[in-house]
Amino acid sequence: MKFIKDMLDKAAPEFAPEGRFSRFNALYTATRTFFLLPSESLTRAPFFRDHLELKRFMSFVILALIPVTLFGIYNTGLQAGLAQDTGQGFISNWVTGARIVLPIILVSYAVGFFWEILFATIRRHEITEGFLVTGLLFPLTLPATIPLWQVALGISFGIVIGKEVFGGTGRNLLNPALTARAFVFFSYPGSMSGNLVWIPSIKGLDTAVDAITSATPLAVSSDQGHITQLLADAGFTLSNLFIGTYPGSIGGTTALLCYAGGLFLIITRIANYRIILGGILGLSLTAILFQFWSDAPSTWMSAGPILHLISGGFALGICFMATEPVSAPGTDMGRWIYGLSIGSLTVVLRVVNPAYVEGVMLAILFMNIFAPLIDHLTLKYSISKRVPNA
Amino acid sequence: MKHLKLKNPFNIPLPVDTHRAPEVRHATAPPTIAVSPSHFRYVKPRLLVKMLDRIKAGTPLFYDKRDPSVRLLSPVSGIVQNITFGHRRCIDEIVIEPSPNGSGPYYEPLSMDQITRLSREDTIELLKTRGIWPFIHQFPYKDIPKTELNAKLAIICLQSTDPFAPLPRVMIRQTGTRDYLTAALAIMSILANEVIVAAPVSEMPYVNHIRELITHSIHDRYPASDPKVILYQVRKHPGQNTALSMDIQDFLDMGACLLTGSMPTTRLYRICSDVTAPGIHVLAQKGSPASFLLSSVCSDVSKLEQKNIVASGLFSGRLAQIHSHMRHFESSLVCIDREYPEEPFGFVAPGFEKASESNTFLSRVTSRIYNLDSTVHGEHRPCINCGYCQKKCPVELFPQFIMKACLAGEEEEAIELGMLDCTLCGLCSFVCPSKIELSDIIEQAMNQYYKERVTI
Repeated sequence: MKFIKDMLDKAAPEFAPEGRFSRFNALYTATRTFFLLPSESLTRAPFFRDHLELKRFMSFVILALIPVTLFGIYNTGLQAGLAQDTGQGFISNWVTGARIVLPIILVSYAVGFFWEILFATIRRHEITEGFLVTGLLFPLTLPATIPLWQVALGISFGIVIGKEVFGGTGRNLLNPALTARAFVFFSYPGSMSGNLVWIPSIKGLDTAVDAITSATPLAVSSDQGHITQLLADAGFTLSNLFIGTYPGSIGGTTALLCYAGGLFLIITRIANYRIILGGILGLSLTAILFQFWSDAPSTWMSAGPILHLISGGFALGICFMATEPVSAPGTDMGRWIYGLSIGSLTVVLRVVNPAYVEGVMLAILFMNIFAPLIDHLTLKYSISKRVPNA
Repeated sequence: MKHLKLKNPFNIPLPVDTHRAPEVRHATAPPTIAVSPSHFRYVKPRLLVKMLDRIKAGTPLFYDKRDPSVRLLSPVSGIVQNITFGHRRCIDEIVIEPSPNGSGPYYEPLSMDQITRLSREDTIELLKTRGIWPFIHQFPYKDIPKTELNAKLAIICLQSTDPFAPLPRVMIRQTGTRDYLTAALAIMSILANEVIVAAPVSEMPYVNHIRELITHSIHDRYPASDPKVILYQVRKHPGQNTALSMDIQDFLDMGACLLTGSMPTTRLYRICSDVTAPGIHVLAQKGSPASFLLSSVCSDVSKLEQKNIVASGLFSGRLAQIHSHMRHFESSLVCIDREYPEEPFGFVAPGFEKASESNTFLSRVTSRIYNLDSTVHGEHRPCINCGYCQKKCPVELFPQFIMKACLAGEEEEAIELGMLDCTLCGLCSFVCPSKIELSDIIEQAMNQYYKERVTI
């Protein structure tokens, strides 16, 4: 540690305002504060401060995402192996998965960091930690077969249009990771949905990207039979869906680990429980309503709350995307409304709209746009309850 | 007796004095004392003394240009040794060298009967001539009260807002307290329709002899004893927003001045040379120098110069220079470490020792008193709307929205969001993970608003 400190201290004058690399001061500060957490003396009251700071805040989200990411890696390898009956084994699943997933994550981080540093340097603001989360969340929402150039393009759009043009961290209207995904989703639908994208071929690793046909559970439907039966026939049992060992986006399949991560964030109070619980509640209630009124037992309309909760990307979305505080409302009541609406819209999009089998991304982006309005109305309401003072 | 439940208390344990009767040290006469005009917020002082003037106790030192009948009197006889000026030539300190055998001004003592028969006008006149009027606060700005305004409510709390201030059990133990309190309450009920006297639950067993005077019991935790927090909890209608309040020591002094005819010249201070210890009570001359008070509890004051010395509490206090004097409303000094090492990978440390209101440190499962320090812990960042400030606000405001309105210059919006209810407790700045100076921004906006709208 002393070695790093000495090196940083030695480099410091170069990045000082009159130094050679003064333009890159943001980069230097980001590097230094990563290794050595600063704590300058206070001159204004209150004369002591909480130890929680944004680096820790964001690293807790990363911490909650690590199991999801690891499972995503394993599952990608597992599905690729299963589909081709080759090299089945615990170790080989990890190796295959890592070879497919790690490049996606690395590209996402590398390209995202490039934009972050560029904007920080030109605008002379600090490099913020929020990107560490965005850069990991975005790959987790992608199918494993995604071409790397699309990853680069997507994260560029997410960071530049989703965040930086609005003024950077703290000012973004939309969740940057989902903005990035939405961009890829609508620009390259062939790489993002359909039956061909979910399982990468192992052979394909060494040559061009190749994929194997497979449907996601949300795309399962038929003219007859009950949805639960249809799903089971297609190999999607409840436990299967809950644990996440089925083809799907890298981090989106494991409801178990996503909810566990969500619980961790709720306990540490990094994520607001109102959004997560509101989302689960909204989704369940809407699913029950549809189940009652549905006249098509073979579609997702009759699936009921449990199936809706554990399938698709809802768990990842509600626990990690919807809880991003900047794009969510800032009042408690607003957070309930926001969560409930996301849950409810997710089901509506899934069952009513035949064009999109998965609705959570659009539901969250849609509610992101409404967050300022929700804030405005709930603030008005809270103020009306107070004894005025003016 | 009604109990007021505090919303969003401060949960980090601060040192608690568990003694039934904590020790009180009597300080000797200080070499100099000072009165600080700039300490009286919003007052526009016009000096009435100059350097090397020989003054008597009770001589007016300055008056308020907004209302020339509001004057501040010298607490002691002596020589004006120095007048120091601060930022934009505001008068920082009028330093007086007390003469060894000076005696206080004597007014005519009043009996309880005479006090209760006073008219409102006579009371105000009396308080102004005896120099007590500037010690009364009026909300929402904590300004000196406007004479013409008839207050609906007055709030007195036995414990100062500052958690490091002298304990009520020590203050109440002094002789005559009960009579002084009764007399002061009689005066307050002339000025306001209703008077609330609040005491923290933990002090209740020690203040039995004045129990029937107490109307409300409050939470022990900071900032329950802030009169503005109490106001928020009892407030029924907007008319009560202009409530009066007074620091408990000034309140007792007011009673003493009326009953005995002379204004007490000493004040009880609590001095903590270490932030983890409950501190020592020192009875000393009002306006004593910080170094003088510290030397009465610590043998080597020069060692304390390595630390931040904070007057009137860690939350909303002032960074005191060691040679500066105590301001009128201040009654505590706390020494706290000024430095904290750069911590390798600090953001992932388990943090058994780290004080935090969040649930992200393992210190959450232990409940010991931490070695606090006076540093930022992290870097300044934009607001991420996490809502931690809102969860700590004792008057249930939305500090992040008010802060944004203030920074955008949207004064009316900030007022509409309840900015004037803000008690400036500092808890929002304390918890902010982005290290935004919320309470500082709000305080500046409030001062600005006062200047533009309230003063003519």
